[in-house]
Amino acid sequence: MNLPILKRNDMKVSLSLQWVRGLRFRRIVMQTVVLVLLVDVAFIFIVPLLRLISTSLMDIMDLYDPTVVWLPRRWAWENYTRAFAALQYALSLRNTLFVAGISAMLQTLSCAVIGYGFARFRFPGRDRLFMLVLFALIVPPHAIIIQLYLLVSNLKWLESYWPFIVPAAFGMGLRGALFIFIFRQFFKGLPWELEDAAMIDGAGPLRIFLYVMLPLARPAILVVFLFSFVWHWNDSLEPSLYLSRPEHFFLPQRLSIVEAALENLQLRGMWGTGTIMASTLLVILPLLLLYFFTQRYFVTSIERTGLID
Amino acid sequence: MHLTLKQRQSITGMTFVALWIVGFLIFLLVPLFRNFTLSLTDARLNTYRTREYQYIGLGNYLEAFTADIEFIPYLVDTIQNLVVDVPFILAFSLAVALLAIQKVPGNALFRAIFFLPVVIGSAVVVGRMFDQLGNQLVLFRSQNAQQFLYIYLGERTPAFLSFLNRSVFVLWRSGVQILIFIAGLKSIDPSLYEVAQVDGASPWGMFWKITLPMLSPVVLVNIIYTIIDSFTDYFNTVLRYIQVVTFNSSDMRLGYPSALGNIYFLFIFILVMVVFALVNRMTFYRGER
Repeated sequence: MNLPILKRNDMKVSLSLQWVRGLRFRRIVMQTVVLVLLVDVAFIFIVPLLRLISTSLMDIMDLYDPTVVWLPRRWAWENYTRAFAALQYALSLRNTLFVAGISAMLQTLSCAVIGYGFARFRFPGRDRLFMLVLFALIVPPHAIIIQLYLLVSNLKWLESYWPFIVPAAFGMGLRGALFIFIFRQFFKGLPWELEDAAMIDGAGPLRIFLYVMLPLARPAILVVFLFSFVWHWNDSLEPSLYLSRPEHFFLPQRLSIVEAALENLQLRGMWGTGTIMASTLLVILPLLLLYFFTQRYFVTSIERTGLID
Repeated sequence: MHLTLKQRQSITGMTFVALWIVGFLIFLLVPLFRNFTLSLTDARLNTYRTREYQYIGLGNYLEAFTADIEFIPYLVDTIQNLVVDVPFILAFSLAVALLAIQKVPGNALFRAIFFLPVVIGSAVVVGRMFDQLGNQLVLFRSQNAQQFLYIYLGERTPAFLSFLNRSVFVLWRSGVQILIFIAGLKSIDPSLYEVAQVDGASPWGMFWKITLPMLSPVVLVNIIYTIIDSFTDYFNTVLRYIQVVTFNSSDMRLGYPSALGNIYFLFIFILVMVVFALVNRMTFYRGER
């Protein structure tokens, strides 16, 4: 009497086993497809970098040799010694590190303060003021560059690093509005109980901000700092206007000079190419290193910034 | 003096924001205003210092639209590029973001690579790489592949190659967008997908019915960001032209480039507003019913 039931159960078990196997198979197929696509896209992103590295190590013979594609026949390290000297690397690196570092730090701090003000307090005209922040985002500096130049020269800031550092300290500077936006979104997402508890414990607004909110904002701080640092590092418009003494130059400006100097050689063939590529790589090398060490935190931080409301 | 809690709150809030108000006034609003007044004059660098310039009304603006043979074509060029690039960048970055959040081995590494353009994808460096390496960038560097292409495309091969080059270039500008999309995708409640799965929805259906609507505010952010980014880009021909007129021309005019900057900025402003209004209507906000 029990037999048919047993049989039915048996069948069910084997069916569901089959079903599970099918699912697993489908998942493996899906994963493979995704993986292949990921490799493809990653390839697009990494090829220019690899090509930059490989070209920077080629001498003129290799550059003209169609059989040399990726690996140079002779590693032309002299490209790097030349680039190092032409860029005045130690000096320019110190300048760039100094200004990009200080500006990024100040900008991160000021934008955190401002973003916190927009996110956690109610005051008359707040939302209209925040519209102005977004408005600041769409004014390209080029459009008002004459006035900026006149302002900087009236303040006697030409040939100094103040025009990069001071606006950053006021939450302006390169895309400051974007950073304020990021911080606002982040602080908006935190629970109100944090402030209530701290307030009951007798902490004032400044203390709450410094000791409760800022430590929590670590993901947002990391993302904003990295962006700010990178954009300050790569900025070329304003430095080219405000600085004219070579000993003050940043790396991208130096790179332009190196390139201009090698342009004559370029006209007669690819003589300068290896050196230009080596110089380019030297300019971004510190950024690559920075990214290499922070990317793990960077990638997870972006997911936690609550960039998106 | 005694203040209510509300008053104290608003004073503290304004103190936090005061820093920005000062910066905004000094470094943006006043320059913008002065830029406008200067654009109504015929000032040159030497006459500006001695204040010997004259008010010429909208003369500079008229000149930009009627006499200048370069400005308008550059502007049209920028718009054309924008129309092509924005959908391309958005579709690509959404696809990459969707791929990057899949749980496959090594996806942390892939994400790290996708953010690479954000770090080094700056104007200066990318410019060098693309200027110098030119056609070699694309996968079709080898002669065999090119010949293969010629069989299929014939005359159109160079155009196709330059299109490929251009697309690689465009893709390199989508780093921030990918990142914003990933953050947006991560913020979608997974229980929505579970419910849909129980009801028998296909992944395709779930994408159109859940992912895209939930992501639509992010799409709006990304569209606006892409527009602003391409308008303020280092390679933007209008900005380059303004720079040349300002600093590299022999007559050192100040009024005319100011007017060009104003036209350009107003143009971006209107465009962003229009796009915002249009896309905002199609956007779904979670809080609303």
